[in-house]
Amino acid sequence: MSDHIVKSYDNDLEDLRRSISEMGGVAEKMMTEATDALVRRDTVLAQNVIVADKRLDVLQREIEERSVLLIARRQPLAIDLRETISAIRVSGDLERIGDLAKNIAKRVVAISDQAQPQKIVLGVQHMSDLVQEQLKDVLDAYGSRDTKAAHDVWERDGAIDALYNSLFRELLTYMMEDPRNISFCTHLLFCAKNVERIGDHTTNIAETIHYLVTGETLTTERPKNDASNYATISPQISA
Amino acid sequence: MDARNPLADAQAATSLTVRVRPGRRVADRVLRLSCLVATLVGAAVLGSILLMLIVEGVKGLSPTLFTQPTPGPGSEGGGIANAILGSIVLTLIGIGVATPIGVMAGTYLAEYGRNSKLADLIRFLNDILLSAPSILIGLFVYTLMVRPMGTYSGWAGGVALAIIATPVIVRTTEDMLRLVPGSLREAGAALGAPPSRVIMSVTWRAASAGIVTGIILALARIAGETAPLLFTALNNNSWFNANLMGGVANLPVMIYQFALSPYPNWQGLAWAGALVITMTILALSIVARFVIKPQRAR
Amino acid sequence: MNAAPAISAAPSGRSQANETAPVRIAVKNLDFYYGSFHGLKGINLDFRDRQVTALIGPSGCGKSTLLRTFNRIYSLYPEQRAEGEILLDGRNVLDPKVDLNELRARVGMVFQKPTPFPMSIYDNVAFGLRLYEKLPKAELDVRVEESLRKAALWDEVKDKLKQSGMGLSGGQQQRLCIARTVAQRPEVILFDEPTSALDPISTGRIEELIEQLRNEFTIAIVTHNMQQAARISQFTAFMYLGELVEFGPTNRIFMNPKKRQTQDYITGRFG
Repeated sequence: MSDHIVKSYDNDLEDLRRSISEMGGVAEKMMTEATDALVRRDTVLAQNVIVADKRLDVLQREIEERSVLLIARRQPLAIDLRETISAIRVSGDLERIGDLAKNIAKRVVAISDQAQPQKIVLGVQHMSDLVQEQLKDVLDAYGSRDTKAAHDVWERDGAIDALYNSLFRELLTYMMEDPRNISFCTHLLFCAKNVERIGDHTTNIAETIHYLVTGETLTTERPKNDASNYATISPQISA
Repeated sequence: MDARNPLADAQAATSLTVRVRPGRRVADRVLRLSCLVATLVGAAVLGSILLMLIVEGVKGLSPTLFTQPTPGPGSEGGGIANAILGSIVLTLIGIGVATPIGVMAGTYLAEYGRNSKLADLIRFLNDILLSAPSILIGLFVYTLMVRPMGTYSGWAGGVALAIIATPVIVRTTEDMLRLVPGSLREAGAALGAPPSRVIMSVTWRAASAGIVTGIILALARIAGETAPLLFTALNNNSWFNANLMGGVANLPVMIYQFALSPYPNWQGLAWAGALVITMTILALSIVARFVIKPQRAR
Repeated sequence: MNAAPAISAAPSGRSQANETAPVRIAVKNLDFYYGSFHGLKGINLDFRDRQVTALIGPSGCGKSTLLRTFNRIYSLYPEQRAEGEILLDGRNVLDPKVDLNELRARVGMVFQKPTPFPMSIYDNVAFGLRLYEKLPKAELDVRVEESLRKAALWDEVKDKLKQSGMGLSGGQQQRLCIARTVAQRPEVILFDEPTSALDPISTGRIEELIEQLRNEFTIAIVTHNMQQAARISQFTAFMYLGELVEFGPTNRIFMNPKKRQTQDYITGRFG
């Protein structure tokens, strides 16, 4: 892509890209650390995550303001307009990812003094690892405008949903086995749900990348394997 | 905006004047001064002519000036009424002949003959005619009309004046039409109007003030011409014939002859005639200015 | 619409391009020459009924030239000529047998600079009507009022119809010119950068007017203002160096142009 005749236009767009990539870095780090804190019951690390979210919020507001100014000042068209709109969308997704990671970190603090069945925690960790990889890949795809990589992430998210579904059933089983697990398991369930939602946001970003590059919206349904919406406690499970 | 600004401005101004090399400022003043001197000299010459004209001319002004014909040699009194009327008639004949020819020819040059070689040739010849010595035109009409007809006549004088006025009108008409933006012609054509219609209802109208001004200026120019009339209308000390045959009294030639005469009353009449003709031309020029003004104000 | 999924997601409405509207002007293999300069090269383009088609491109790309072939206004200049076909309702406009004055009554044109004639507002509007029709005064009055209303100028000038058209403001003058064109009840109206000499408010009025006129007329507009093309047109053609580079529904051209040159031009990257 050649440069704009007006140099400062390029600078504006470049600033947007840089801020998005900074946000991506912060969100990625928050998510990794929140998961580590959960696995290691590390409340100090969890506090770090909570504090880091502020930076993410600031960045998101900045990106929004810059985008609005850019639209007002330069009336971007075609690729430039799509890039500006994409920046607003992606920054929104990243901000939500930060919120979800922060929520996990808060739960880590809440459950730090409770007995934790390591097996389930490991299940959440496994799911989180997959989502972290998705997040990293989708951010790379955004940086390199790579629709193929974005599509890949978009399709992979089905596996996360399936994983969440099985975790959900497992946690239900634990809770039914021993009511003393309920408090802990509920928190863990929320953590798992948060991770799953982060996965959803990575697919949003993947869709945005598709729009950014091709100018068209992805309209086919994303593969979804989350059946937990329909799961109920039935006698068969407890049997 | 705040109190410090004027100070800063003053400083900037000083630093600016310092930066201009002194030589430049001297050159600037010298040029300005010489322009001023030249203007004053020109104005002074014109002013003194006008002043002398008024002082001498006013002496000759009297009621009989506008009622009585020019006196014969040696006779007292008299006026210049026949010369004034003759001048008016000659000038009107001249402008009456020159206007249609001039406007049409100018229109041809500006509208139809845009890229034609013929138009270029006509324009070139017109420019020559514009600067041709007027005595030459007098001689031309003398051989063309006075000799064959065997007598001086007002008609010949009028034709000579027309030949002088025509190139002026051609030129101003063409120039004024060229000032009409092409987009106006295109707009007319875009509505489906044929060129003749566009010219008559759009371009002529748009240039009308300029064209009328050109005609008035041509009028002023021929009103004061002497040379072409010497060989054509000549002059006469009595009222001219109704058919304009024979010499026709007119102001410029009357002034020329009376000013050279030994009779003081003739000389006085010459001064008065000069004043009348100058004032008339001045008035025409002022009218021309006013015709052009409202157009600009838009 | 074969890119169905993408377009169906876009908002629909009357600003959407109607790609099935009948073709009013079909340009086929049009070449244009200024003396020996080849100004337009093999243009093929359709203008659809009651749609606004915008022609964009850098200066000298031929967009005005293209517009000026539709009413053959170029024929005022002997060194200019066009080859190919321009079919107006199936009839070739470039055919020498076509009566120019009739053609120009069917294809009206509004220019970059307002061109009111030096006559009264009323006479300006009646100018075209008086050319070939001998209308009784009452009917002429009706047509003049109708045209001025369509040009959204009536309320501003109804009390001064006898005053000179030159005394109006720039924006009013331009609307007067539109009224003059509309009065002839043309089928197609060509706008050659109609707002480039106007302030933003007058520009807005003209744009609103074009939006209204679209209900009755097929419109082609040349503009240097990309946002304006995006706002008021349904179809956009991008031209460069005398060639048609890209043509399509305006929404697509401005959101997602297919050609690199188009993208570079509309995003301000042209070198």
